[in-house]
Amino acid sequence: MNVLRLVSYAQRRPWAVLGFGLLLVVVASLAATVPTVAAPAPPTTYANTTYGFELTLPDGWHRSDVLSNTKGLGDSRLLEWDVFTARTPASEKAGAVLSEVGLPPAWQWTVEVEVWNNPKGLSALAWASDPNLAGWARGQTIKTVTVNNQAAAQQVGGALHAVSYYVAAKGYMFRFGFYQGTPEERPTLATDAGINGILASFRVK
Amino acid sequence: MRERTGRNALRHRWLVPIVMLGLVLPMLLGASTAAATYTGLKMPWPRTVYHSVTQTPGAYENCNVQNPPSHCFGFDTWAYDFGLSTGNTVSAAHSGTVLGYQFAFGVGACDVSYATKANYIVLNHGDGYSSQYWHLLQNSASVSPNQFVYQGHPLGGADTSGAACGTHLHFAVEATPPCNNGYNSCIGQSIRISFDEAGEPALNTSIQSLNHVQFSATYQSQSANLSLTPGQVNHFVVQYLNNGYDVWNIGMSGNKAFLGTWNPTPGQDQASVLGGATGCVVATNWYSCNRIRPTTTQVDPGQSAWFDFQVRGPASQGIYKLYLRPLIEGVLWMEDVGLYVQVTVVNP
Repeated sequence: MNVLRLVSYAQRRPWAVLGFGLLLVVVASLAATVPTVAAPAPPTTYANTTYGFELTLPDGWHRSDVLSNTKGLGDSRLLEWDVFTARTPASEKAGAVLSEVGLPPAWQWTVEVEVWNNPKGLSALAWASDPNLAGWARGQTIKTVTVNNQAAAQQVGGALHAVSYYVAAKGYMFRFGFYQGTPEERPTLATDAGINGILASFRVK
Repeated sequence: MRERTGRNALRHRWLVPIVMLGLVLPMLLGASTAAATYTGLKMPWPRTVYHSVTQTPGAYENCNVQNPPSHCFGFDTWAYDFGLSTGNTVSAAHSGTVLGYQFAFGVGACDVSYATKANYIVLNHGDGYSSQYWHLLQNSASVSPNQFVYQGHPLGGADTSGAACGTHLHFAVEATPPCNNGYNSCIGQSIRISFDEAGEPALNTSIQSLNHVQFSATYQSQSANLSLTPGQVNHFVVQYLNNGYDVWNIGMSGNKAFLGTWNPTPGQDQASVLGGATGCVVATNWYSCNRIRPTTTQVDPGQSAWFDFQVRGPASQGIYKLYLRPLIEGVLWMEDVGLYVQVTVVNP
C-alpha cells in the first residue's frame, strides 16, 4: 500500500525524488570519506619509583622494553637508562637491528633518561662540561637552563643526544635527551612538540 | 644484396672502435671508482705489536647467511674489526684533529639496547676524511677536545662498550661528518681503505703494526768531514727526521731532543775535545759539554731537525772523531746509526 503511494508520488513530482536521492548519495559519500577523528588520549605520566623521576608522555608514546635497561649493567656509574618511543611495538621490534655503530632505526627519534651515580655531587653544568663524563663533539654548546623549575645544564649537539639536559638531584645525575634520526625513520607521533614536551616535563620527585 | 651489405660494413668499419670504446669506457670508469681506496693508514695499535683481523668489510664476508656479520650492513660495510683485548692501546691510524668522543660508558653487550653506549673517537684527518675507533674502554681517553694528534699517538684502550659481541676494536674511515647534532651526526658511511702494512688484510690475519712510536729519529744527512788547523773553528751540520708521533721541543720537559756524545769517542755523555759550552774542555756553541741542540725550538713529527754546531781543531795534528747519538733528555736514546764527525787537524 505504502509502496504504491510512493510510486504515485514519484510520478507526480519526479524532481523531488531525484533531489532526495542526490541528498542520500552526498550524505553516504561524506560518511565514507571523512574519517572518524578519535579524541586524542590524554597524556600519561611515567614514574620511575627506583630513582624518583617522572615524565609526561603524549598520546602514542610509551617506555620501550626493547631499548631500556635496568639491570645487569656492570657499570658502577651508569645505573639505568629508560627509553621512550612513539613507535608501535611491531615497528620497534622491526627496527631493533643490532648495529655496531650508528643508531639502529628503533633508537631514532627516541627520548632517553639516563641515571648516573654522582658521588662527588657535581653540578649539572660541571658534569655537562666534562668531556670524560658527558662526551664531547666539535659543534656542541653548553649553557645553564631551567627545566620544570629545576636547575639544569643543556648540551646541544653533543656526542650522544642531539640535545641533552642534566639535572643533579638525590646523589644522581639525570641526563635526558633525544636521539635525532633520519626523516624516513621518524614516527608520525614523534613531533618536535611532542619530544620537547616530554623533555620539558622531566621532574625529580 | 649480400654484396651491398658487405660494402656498407666495410664503409663504416671506423665506427667499430668508437662503439667498442663507448661500451668499455663506462665499465673502466666504474671499475676505477669502485677501486678508489683511502691509503696512508697504519694499523691502529702500537708499533711491533701484533693483532688479528676478526671481521673484514662486508664485501669480503659471506653476507648470504641467516645471521650475516655486522659489516654487511649500514655504515659498517668497509669497516674492520681487530682482536684487541681489554686495555690494549688503540693508536691513531692517521694524523688528525679530535672531532668528537665519548669515554663515559662502562657497559656493552651483543644487544641492541646497548647501541648508544659505545665509547668512540672520531679523528678529522683534514683531507675530507676521518677515522673512527669504537667500543673503547671507559675513562681511557688519551686525547682532549680539538687536540691534533700525529699518526701513532695513543687514543685510548680497547674494550667492548656499546653493541659489541666481544672485545675488539671497530675501525673505519668515513667522509668527515659534521659531528654537531648528537651520536649519528658523528658517524658516516665507511669507505674502502688500505693499510700500509697489510693492504686490505684478510680475515684472521695477524698483523704487526709499523705505526709510529713516540720518539724516533731517522738519520738524513750530515756535512762533509772537516779539515782544520789547530784552534780553527768551523761548523758542522747534521739533519735528523722526527719520525715519532711526539714533538721535540727544547722548552718542554720530556720532549727535549739533543745530539749527545756517544761511544766509542768520547763515550756516552763524555765531554769532547772538539766542542762544548762555556766552562767545558773546549768552548764552542754547544748546549752543554755533551749535548748539541737543534737550531729550532720545536720540531714537529715529520719535520727535519737541523743540528748546526761548531767544532774547534785541537792543538795536535791528527784525525779526531766525535760520535753522536740523538736522544730525548731524561727519556731515551733514539736510534744509533754510528754517526760521527771527523776532523783532520793539519799544519797551518
